Amino acid sequence: MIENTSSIDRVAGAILIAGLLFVLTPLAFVVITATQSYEDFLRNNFSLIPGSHFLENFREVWSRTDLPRQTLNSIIVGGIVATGRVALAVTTSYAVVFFTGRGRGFVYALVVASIMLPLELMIITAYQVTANVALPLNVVANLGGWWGALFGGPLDLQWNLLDTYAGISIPLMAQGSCTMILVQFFRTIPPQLARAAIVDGVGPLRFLWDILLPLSKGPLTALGIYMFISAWIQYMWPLVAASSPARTMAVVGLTRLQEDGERIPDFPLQMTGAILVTLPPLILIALFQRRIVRGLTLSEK
Amino acid sequence: MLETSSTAAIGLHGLVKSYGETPVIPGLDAELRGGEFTVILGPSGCGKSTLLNCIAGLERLSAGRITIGGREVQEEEPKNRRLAMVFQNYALYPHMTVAENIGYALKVAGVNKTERAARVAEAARVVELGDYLDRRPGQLSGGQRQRVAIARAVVREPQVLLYDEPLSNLDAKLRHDMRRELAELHRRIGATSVFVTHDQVEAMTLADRIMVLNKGRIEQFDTPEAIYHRPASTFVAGFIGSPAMNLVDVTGEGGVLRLADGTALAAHSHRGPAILGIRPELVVPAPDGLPVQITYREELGAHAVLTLRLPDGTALRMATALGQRGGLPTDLRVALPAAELHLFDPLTGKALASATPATQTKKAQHDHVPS
Amino acid sequence: MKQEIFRSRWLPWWLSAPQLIVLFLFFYLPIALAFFWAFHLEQPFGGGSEFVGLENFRRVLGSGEFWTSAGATLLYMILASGTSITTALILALAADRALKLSPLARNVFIWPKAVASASIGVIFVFILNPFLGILAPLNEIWPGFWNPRTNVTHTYIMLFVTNVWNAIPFTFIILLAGLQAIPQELHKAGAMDGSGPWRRLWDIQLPLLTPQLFVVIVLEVADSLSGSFGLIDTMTQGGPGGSTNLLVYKIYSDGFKAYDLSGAATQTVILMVLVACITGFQYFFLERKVNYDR
Ligand SMILES: Nc1ncnc2c1ncn2[C@@H]1O[C@H](COP(=O)(O)OP(=O)(O)OP(=O)(O)O)[C@@H](O)[C@H]1O
Ligand SMILES: [Mg+2]
Repeated sequence: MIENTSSIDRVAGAILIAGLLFVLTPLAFVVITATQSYEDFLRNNFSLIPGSHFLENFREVWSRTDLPRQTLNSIIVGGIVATGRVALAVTTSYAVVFFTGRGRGFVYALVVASIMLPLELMIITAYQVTANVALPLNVVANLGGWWGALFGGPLDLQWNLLDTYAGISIPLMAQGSCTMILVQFFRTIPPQLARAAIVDGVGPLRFLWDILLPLSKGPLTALGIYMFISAWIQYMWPLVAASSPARTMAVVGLTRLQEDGERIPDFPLQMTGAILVTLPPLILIALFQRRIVRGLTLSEK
Repeated sequence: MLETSSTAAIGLHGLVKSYGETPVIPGLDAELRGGEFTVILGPSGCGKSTLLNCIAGLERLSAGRITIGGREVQEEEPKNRRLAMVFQNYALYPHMTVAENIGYALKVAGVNKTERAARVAEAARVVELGDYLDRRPGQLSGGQRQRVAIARAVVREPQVLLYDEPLSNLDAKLRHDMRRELAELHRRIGATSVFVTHDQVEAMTLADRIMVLNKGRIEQFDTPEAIYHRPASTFVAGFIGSPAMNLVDVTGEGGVLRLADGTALAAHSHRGPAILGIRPELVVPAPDGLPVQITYREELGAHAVLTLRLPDGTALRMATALGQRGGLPTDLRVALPAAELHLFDPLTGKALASATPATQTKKAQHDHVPS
Repeated sequence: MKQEIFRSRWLPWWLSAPQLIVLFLFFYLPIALAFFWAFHLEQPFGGGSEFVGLENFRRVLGSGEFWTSAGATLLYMILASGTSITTALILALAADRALKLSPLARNVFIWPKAVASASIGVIFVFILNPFLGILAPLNEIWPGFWNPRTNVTHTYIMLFVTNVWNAIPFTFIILLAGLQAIPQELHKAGAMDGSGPWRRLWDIQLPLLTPQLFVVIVLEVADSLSGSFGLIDTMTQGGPGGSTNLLVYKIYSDGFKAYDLSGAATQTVILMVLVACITGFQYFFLERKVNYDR
């Protein structure tokens, strides 16, 4: 652009091509392998020539494995998590950005702190809490034994959320990045807008519903899509929180295809499964790339 | 210490710059004299910055040649052209102190530390920034930032100084002060300067010569006086002067210029259709002149600007004499003195040679020609 | 810009309550529970807990296995985030030049975000399979050229390559946005000052990119840990010989396979403190080097 840069541009171009190859080659191998039959695969090992067995492989995945069911689970959990996270983020960021008063900074700090420690680090005790969500009530009730003194016996409520959609989804919502992004976005909205609303006699809830939400439709959709994808690709929490095949999510289901005993694993089948598991979020990301990027980079300004 | 050893003329020869298909500068020839302060003036989007960037080497030419001090530079990197540039939004390095900003070019050039410090201090002194050397740009006011940008440019003792609308981000008062300082600086260091602006006051006050650009073409390239008193085209006539020159379609026959409805407007020997131009301040009240109606009056304090309606409905602006107060008669009559008329070709907009106002030949002799 | 427009005593609390409840239950309570169990022992056959002071820590810190695992965790955090940030930075610098390829690259480089760490683990463990994968032919020529199942270095290379693949998108997006926010005029001013593209990279682009680099480093260090589970569970299961048994994986095995709740909770506490210390260190030492002036 500025000086004669053709040599630098050539290096940059080579870097981009190398990057594209690095990202795309594994995906290409997945697709190629998924088109081969197990027998072909055993004979030729690794091959660059696509076979013609994709439909057979796909039919097998569809009928012989739990993946279709698990894909549906992923869609359900992804939907719950995306909606939930965006809804929680909207209300919290609205309270943090648009209201005067004490405690807003504290609330925001509580939310942002949750970004630093991922759920994976506290998996054991998160599991414990999910196994009995009433645990804090019991603890409070039995503190100093006042419940026992009043009712003759300690409080022992049980509310197990393991292996339910709620138990898989809600812990995945306990992370503040969505709120942080939305707070940044709300801060870019000109304050005159809300002032005008006050002058017009519009109350805070009405302003949120009638003005702020319609105005934020674009960023909210982008966030929702991003959060859907983030939930879809979760592995560790769905692995421990869902024990029955009926609640297992697709990514976990995919890794179960790996456990195949002694013989050489049926890689074509695995790769077909990988396509099924990866394609929905991949399509979303390829389509909404611009919006998602714009939504994410807002938070770094 | 900041005297430049020599000043360099800039030659632009058949300069073409296009972005993709559309030419922004379709072919431009000009000679910018060494040591002169040239202002490039034109409306937004006419290619001023593009032209400046071409001279600087920040844009590659599509065709043509550029010489600086007789040396062809169009293939040279910016750093080898011995020029420096001041940008509109200052373009200071936000992470460096004022001293580091000013001294960066010297550092890149490998000038040793002690000499660097001395030259930075000297450049900072020139723009009166000595006390701020350790600040970051973020801690400076707009005017101070602009001074840093100027110091950064002059510290390299360039042959040519390029300015791209350097004052447009400042408020009116500061702009006025900086204008004076820039003129002063130019007088002291004498480097060939090219200054881009769309502000005619800056152009008139700073320039030795003004290049008026329109859609990438030179409309006129001359001294401020000549530009004002002898506009080469309707474009220049309308662009320079405030309020702008009146431009009226007329037809000349039998020693008289007439409006479309036949009203005689002024005496002139021109024959055939033309565009008549007259500056609002040169329209004068005359008891035996044209009857006009005052449709709008703008009081500016020192004088007033009136909008008049000629008998056929054409609007004409008139500026009252300085210091004149009070009402004009409602049955105002005005005259357009023949000596003050400009005539332009109705098709091309170019000034008609046959119609040079008498006063201008007189003025032309006073044009100072910089050495 | 702060808005602070509506005045209301309770409404903001009602609005934040749902998120605070979720965070309390599934973020703050698990942390508190981890601390609780780190100082208590679960009594066998369920029911009750017994305060044991530092006994759990003594047991955990006394085991060599823990120290191997902690060392591997630190090494992994540093190298995994280092390799992925460097790669993404180089790609972002290349994509920042307005080349014909840039729009395509910008789209494709965020695709890996759609692939779960466990999925890409399944995929790469196949592609890099020493007998069936793309490197198998080389292994036939030079036996032992590539064997991530027994060679620890190879195992880690495999993990890092896979992690880089998976971690490109977020880092790339943030860094590219940071690069593009650097005004073109600064490049021009740099060029006028005689600074070539390479020099401008060090003198102008990288210093002005420090805010984004800081964010990326902080987040990537935490992310490399959480992403490591999916990779290790599908690629190495902690092997060979426990060399990739990172704390995240070890806690999972101790807690869910060996049912050692107190031991797992103790290690959880140690790991959380470690991550918190690293984050704190980054804020205290790295953030000073960040240029927020723009
Ligand atoms: N990189 C570019 N690519 C395509 N077109 C460009 C580019 N830079 C400038 N142009 C076009 O060239 C024309 C001239 O631009 P230039 O910046 O030189 O105008 P200018 O006279 O400096 O205007 P202003 O007073 O607004 O700064 C404009 O129409 C602009 O749209
Ligand atoms: Mg411009």
